[in-house]
Amino acid sequence: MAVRALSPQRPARPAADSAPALVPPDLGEPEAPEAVVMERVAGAPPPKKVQRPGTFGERWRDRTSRSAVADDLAAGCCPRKCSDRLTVDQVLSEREEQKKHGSESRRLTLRTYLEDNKLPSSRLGYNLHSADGHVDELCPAAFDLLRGYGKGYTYAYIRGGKDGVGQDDKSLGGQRFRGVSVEDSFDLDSNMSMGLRGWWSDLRTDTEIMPNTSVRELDYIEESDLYKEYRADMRESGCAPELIGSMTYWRTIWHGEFGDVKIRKHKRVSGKDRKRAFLRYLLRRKVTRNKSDRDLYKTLRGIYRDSCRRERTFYWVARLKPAQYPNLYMTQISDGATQADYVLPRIISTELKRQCVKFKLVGNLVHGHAIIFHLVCPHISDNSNLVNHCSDTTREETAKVRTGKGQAAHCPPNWRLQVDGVNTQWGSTTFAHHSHLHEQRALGATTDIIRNKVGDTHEDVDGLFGMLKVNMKNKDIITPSDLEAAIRDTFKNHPLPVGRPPPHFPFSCALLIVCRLGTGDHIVRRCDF
Amino acid sequence: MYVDATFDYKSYYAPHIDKKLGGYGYSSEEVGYHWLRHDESRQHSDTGIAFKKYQSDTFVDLALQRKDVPAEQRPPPTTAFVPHPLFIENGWEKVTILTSTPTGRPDVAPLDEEFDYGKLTNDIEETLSELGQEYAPRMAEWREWIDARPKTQADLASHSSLPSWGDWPRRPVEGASTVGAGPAEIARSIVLASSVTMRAPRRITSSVGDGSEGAAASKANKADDESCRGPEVRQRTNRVTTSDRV
Repeated sequence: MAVRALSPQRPARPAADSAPALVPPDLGEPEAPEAVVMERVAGAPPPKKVQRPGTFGERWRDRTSRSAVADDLAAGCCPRKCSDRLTVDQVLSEREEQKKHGSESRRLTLRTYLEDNKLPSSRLGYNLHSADGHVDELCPAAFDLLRGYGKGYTYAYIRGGKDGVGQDDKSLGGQRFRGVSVEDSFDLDSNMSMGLRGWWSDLRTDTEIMPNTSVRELDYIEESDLYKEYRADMRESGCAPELIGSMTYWRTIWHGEFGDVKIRKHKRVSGKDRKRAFLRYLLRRKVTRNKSDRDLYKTLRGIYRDSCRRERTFYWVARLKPAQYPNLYMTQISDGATQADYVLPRIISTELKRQCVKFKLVGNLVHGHAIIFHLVCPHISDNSNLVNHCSDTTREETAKVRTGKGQAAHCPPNWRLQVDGVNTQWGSTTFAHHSHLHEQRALGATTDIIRNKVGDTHEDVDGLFGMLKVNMKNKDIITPSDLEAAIRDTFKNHPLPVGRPPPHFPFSCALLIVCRLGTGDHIVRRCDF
Repeated sequence: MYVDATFDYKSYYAPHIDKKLGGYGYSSEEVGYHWLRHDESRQHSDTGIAFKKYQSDTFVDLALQRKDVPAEQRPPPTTAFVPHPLFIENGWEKVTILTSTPTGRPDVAPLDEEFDYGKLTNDIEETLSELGQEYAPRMAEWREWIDARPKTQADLASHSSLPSWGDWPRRPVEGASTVGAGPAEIARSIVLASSVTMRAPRRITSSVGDGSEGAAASKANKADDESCRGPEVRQRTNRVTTSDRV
């Protein structure tokens, strides 16, 4: 029986209690093909057989005994001693719950838990907490202890989650784990499977690699419609009907070998840039059947994307300068968060009949200095008065920060503000106010007001709103003080996304997050570097 | 603090804004302009203010349809249109924004008459009561918050969330050479400003010259070097030896 050795690229699967013991392949087996033996020697060694005492049920019974829990708690977890915050009753209760699951269900439960408890502001990226919510921000080892998992189990799934592993590998992982052979014979490369591979491979080249990930996205399409496209393409190419794969097989090849190709979850990413939207439409295989025409559109899209990227890069270059030359440059970006996220009260998974208080949250990121949030009360209209108000108060706060660092309170000679393209921001009142301030020498000798192209305005300040949204996802926000607390909590550990000064940098710099909230200015965090 | 009140910038600036100002915005037909620069050095326009359509001097756009191309470059309507790149060269366009200088300070923006905190209180009360008894105590917190909000124009005017006006920290007047200069130019100007001019002493000896000027200079340098030999001076100056002099 041919048993393929674990590929070194794949993360080691954590020990699951329900699985029968993995029988290590016997290298001396006469029927093992030579190529397989060589692969084992060259690649990672096969895992050693771990003889576990007792059955799956017995092991979990042991783990849910009070004495075992007490022993585990005494052993502790990490230098921070997170497990000291846990009580025996908490651990027992959670282990009893875990006992009810089989291994597959436990994996699924843990993955779902991790998905629901992301905490980008923490170093781990997740908030591991007890079910009753009394103990939070546990380390993975303490969480293993809490739930009765084997050592390293939670951490392996955290790594997996960060690597984009969202489910068991149905085609390979499960089988291999149970000790069943995985056919890697060339016999499997049937005409049908090769046809599928060819089709997926061609489709993959049409996709666009997404920034900062290994994912390649297809425009939104129903999976069944995509399968229909496959059938149609194969038929048109003259493929015999019996060589057209079923939807299950089509999906198996997709997830098994072209797993980086994903269907975009949203129907539209941005319809604001007419040309991008039109190109996306033209690139649909249903719209432009001709491959050479699609290649033409793809090339045009590449040119256009590069051009739009070049425009955006001006901002990303400028934002580094205040940290490098604080006496020469000041740059800031201003934007408003999605208002629907700040309607109070809001209860998790509950749709309320009324939208009572609609707050607006305006973020001003002053690079190298501070993030200043304005929580705008519902009686204030969203107009150019608000834009200029936020600009003025941000400058006031920044002057305090600069003074605290031993820099001049006034703006340096080069001042740059990036705003959104809507007419409340990019309009005559904003221009007039900043012209007036420029004349009064309250801004730079060079004062720039800039907006990005419509459809390309999503910059780092929106990323801050995204962090807040993730943090608020699992919180009931009933009153404004809850909202303030959520904002503070989100940014308590946040390193500002600004360039750090070089080592010989002569100025004492600080990153400061100031929230203009409540009575007085609350400094959420200050970190000197 | 919460943004409870804003200045009425719109009314304050309205009489001073150039009535003809326009053409910079985004519309269904136009992508608008993306950069407004105020420049004391007036490099880009004699008004000191200029718009630029794109940040790149040449923006690579696409012509996907016939109407994306300027009228004079459009193909005949009977010809099939082939999408192609479109290079848009763009420069600075001078503009005036304020035709006069505003004085005084802006008023506080008027209250939104349509907004009613009384109705809001009722809505919150009903919502919390529908959610259950455990949410009822939070109503007191809401009442306290709503009580603190300004309800009249007088409340607004006294509100502390307003920024200060007129006492902005002002940038000192700079020398003309440093206005708008980047770090490299500033470093260059500092270095050049510290330069010292000297005339090379005449050292050539021949029948027409005795090189005495050079000899005197060497002697003076040597005497100065001797005076720097003391330990306290040696420590203070990172002195080079005579042999290092070329």
